[in-house]
Amino acid sequence: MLDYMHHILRSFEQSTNWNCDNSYANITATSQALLNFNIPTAFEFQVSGATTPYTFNTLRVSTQKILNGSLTYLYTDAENLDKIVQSSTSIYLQDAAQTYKYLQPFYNHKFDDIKPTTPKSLYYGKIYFPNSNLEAMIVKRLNRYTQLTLKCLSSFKDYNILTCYWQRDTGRNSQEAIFSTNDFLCGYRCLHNFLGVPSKTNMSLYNNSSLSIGGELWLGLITLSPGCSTTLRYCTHSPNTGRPLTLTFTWNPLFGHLSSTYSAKSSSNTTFGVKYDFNLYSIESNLSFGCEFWKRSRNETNNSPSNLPANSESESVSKGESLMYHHLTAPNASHFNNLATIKTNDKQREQILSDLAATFSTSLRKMDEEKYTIQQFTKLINNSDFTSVWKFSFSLKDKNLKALWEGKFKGFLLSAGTELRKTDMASSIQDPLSQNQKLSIYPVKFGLQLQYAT
Amino acid sequence: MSFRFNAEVFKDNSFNENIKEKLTKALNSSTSSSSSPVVTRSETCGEAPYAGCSDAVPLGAATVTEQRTPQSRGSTTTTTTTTTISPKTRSTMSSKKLDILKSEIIVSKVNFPTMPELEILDLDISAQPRSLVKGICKISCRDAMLQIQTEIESNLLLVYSDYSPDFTTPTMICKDSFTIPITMVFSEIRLEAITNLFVKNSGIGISFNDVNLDFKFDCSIKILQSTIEKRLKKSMQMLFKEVLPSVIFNMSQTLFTAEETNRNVIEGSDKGDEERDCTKTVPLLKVMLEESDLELSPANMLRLSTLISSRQTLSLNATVLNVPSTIPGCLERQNLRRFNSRIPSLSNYYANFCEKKEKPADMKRSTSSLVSNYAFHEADQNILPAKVLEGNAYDLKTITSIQNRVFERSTDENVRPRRRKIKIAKSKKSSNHESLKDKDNTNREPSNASGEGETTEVDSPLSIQSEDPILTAPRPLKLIKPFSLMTAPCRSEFESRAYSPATLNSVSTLKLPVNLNPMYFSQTDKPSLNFEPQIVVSRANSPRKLNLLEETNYFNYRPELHKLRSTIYSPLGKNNAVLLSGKELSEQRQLFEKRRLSFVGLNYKGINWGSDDEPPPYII
Repeated sequence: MLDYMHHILRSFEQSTNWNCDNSYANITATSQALLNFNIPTAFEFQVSGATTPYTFNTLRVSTQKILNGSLTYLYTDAENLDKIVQSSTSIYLQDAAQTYKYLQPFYNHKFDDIKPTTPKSLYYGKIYFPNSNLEAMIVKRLNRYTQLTLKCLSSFKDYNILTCYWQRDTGRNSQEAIFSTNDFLCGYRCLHNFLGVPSKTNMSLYNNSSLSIGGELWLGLITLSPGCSTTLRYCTHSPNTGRPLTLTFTWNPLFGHLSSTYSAKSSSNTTFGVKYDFNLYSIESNLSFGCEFWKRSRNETNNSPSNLPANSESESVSKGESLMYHHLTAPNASHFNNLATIKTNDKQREQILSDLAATFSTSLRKMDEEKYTIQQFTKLINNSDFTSVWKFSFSLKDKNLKALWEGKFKGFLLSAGTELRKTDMASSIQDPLSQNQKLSIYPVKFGLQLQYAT
Repeated sequence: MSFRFNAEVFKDNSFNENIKEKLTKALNSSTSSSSSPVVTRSETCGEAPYAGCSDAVPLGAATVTEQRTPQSRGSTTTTTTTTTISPKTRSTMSSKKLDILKSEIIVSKVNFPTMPELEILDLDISAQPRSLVKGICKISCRDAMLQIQTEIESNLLLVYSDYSPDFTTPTMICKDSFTIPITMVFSEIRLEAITNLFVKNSGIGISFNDVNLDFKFDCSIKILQSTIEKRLKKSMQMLFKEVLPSVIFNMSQTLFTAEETNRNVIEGSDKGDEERDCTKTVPLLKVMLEESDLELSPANMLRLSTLISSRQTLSLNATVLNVPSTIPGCLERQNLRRFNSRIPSLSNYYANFCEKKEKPADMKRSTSSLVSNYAFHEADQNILPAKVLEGNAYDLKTITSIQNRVFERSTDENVRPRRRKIKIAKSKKSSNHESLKDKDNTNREPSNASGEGETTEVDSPLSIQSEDPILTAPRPLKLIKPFSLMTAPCRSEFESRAYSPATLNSVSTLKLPVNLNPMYFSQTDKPSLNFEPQIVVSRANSPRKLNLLEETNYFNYRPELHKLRSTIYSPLGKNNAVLLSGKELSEQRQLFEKRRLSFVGLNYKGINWGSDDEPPPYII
């Protein structure tokens, strides 16, 4: 479950038109959400609210051995944030939970309608008690393409860390430079999205797939510990059902580690993800598996079929905006009108257009069908009112099983989960009595989280 | 004094297992577990106890503890079985600490082909309430081998990100752990250490003074070998300076307190069946104490102390260098031979020549019950053996240097060196000595005042004589009665010759270090030689008396002797009675006249160490 402050940050990025998903750090976010989801480790309660349209705060209390908590304040000068931020009663569960994310490279080839905005910034501070650690974050949207993030942590126990992120995202390319005072870690990562241009090999006009490649380089200057990896990602929709699927392939040349993931939404309320790891040097391998089961509210399941057709027509235009392939979709009517007004006398051009439409009608129709199915599926998911979700994941090598239940209950966002692990063989050899008598499976962590936001 | 370890113990296989298990346990114990250090069995052998606990140094965690292992006594046989360790410690060690170790450290091979040695260079046992024993030990261990296996995380960035706060740590995609097994072999471990040991009521304090640790290090990852080695060397200092002493002290504290409780139990019960109580309480202590540890009780210490104090009898000049004695002026009897052999003299230098020749003479002399030490014949005077002369084996330069040194040992600077005069009857030999004299006219040779002319008549190796502070063993033969002084120093053969040949044998056996007794010279110089026959007789008649009291008197007058040391030990000045001033003589006389019996022991001064402000008369 995402924190309220996390939600605000996402809203801030949305309002300033920043796509945080278009970053190498999130290149495997889809499979991560299915396999390595967070499990609360204590009983935790959060109350959050927007005091003004520009300030937000959260009070968190948790009991882990002792009672502790934190107090968070956030200020931002972004506009329209109050319209984007939703309270816990109105938010959709699929937005609040970490779930399958169809990471579509989202860059606009639309005619430039984004006004040059003044730099927007966000200030965030969090103090923990009783140990008085302080977290602070400043996010500054410098201009249309760049964003600067400063995160710092201050504590009494020698921890005084500042981490800077400088990000530049042009849509097609995303670059990021990172510096952290902890270990003097320097990092650089970049992501490149290949355009889904119809090529000779790809004859379909409506190309909904996207290919991205990225890489990262790290170097801890004090310990001289290097790190690097490169990842290839391919996202597409199945043409018949319109269901999204994502494939990633990661290679770490330093340690010879290969990792491949496959995640797919098999239906509107189930998701599956598989990850296979293999190390070239040590020939170690690991297979992880994760799945999600969503549950709709009862009243929604009844009326959703009737609602869907109506919705699809009305929202077809609005949904189109978030797609990446605007250059392939037919130009806007208004835009056409503009063109038409410029060249009103040019009757011939209009004639050619209509001729073209007639000749490519079959392929266009096919394209529309594909598009329609995809859009319908995303709409189905986006609009459905889920009440709860079960998440499971297990890993063969680690011998663990994670289970998480997240749900909405009367305006509260609930999240409860546990991680079970099998005892190691070595310890059972050590004392053979326990091997027979005690259970070989024990919980590593378990917890419950309650969130309420107004 | 040195200990030999019981070979049986080393060959015992259960002992091997025990050692290895304890080593692995020590290596894997979490940080600062000094409260429950591992007691290896080595202490039961009377050795300084070693225990291990891993350190907080991230990489050094493994290495520092490995340093310690050579000292724990292992087995003579090689064992290859690996012990398994519980991973529970790991799960508890979830603190935010950088740790690249991914598995437990396993001691896979231990080999001690040669037995370790423990030599006690010095031991002081006093009845002082605060400390029981102070000693200096030399620990040496050779050819030991140790093999350690573990697994380390090679992806340091993962380690870094795991132990950093989430908030400021950027997300990384390459977060895959990659563990590498690593094997470290320490071979040809050679440890030599000189340790100072204090045993007190509260525990054992130990300090390592001169540590010499040498080993071959071989790491399975060659890239890391040099860095690990460097770190090992660096952490060694800290280990011997801080870690080991504190660990040993903490551990010994538990031992001592445990013993105290044991004692209380005994006291509470009936005195009669004390022994039964002992056996009853032993099982309680079995966990940390081996049975032989119980011998380290204060009562035993006291017994030892009386034993030791009875050994320390013979006073010697503290200014003499390189003498292994801790109490100034005292020399332990067993060191006497060594001491004598170091004193510059011709007979020492040509020791292998005179060996055979002296044997029969020794037999003759052994008529006296007093002279029992066989070291006597070796620690003889400054005599050039006849064999050397016959065989032409001498080197004039060495003789010169020896004689020079003999002279330089004299503390009287005012004394003018006397040229020796040698008259030799035999022409062959005289020619030799003429040449010697000619060449070495700078040779300052202390000569016997009265015995110059006579020496030549002696057809013996006594061609060159010098009175040197050579001691013969059990012979502080001084003297109950004033005249008994005379008995001792009938050293020179010319004296015996002057009197009846009947007494010759008995007197000659009593050859004492002439210079030990200043009275001798004063007596002989003043023509009081007529005392001698009496003395010899009385001496021969009452050897038992002397024997009984020699030590008492010696200690009784020790302070005065101390004062006299300078004069006593200058061979030239003191041997030549001519040089002795009358004042000095009278003082000495007075000194020996006021004698009485006194208490034998360490505290002969009548001062209890510790009760006084004066520091104890030994140096540690």
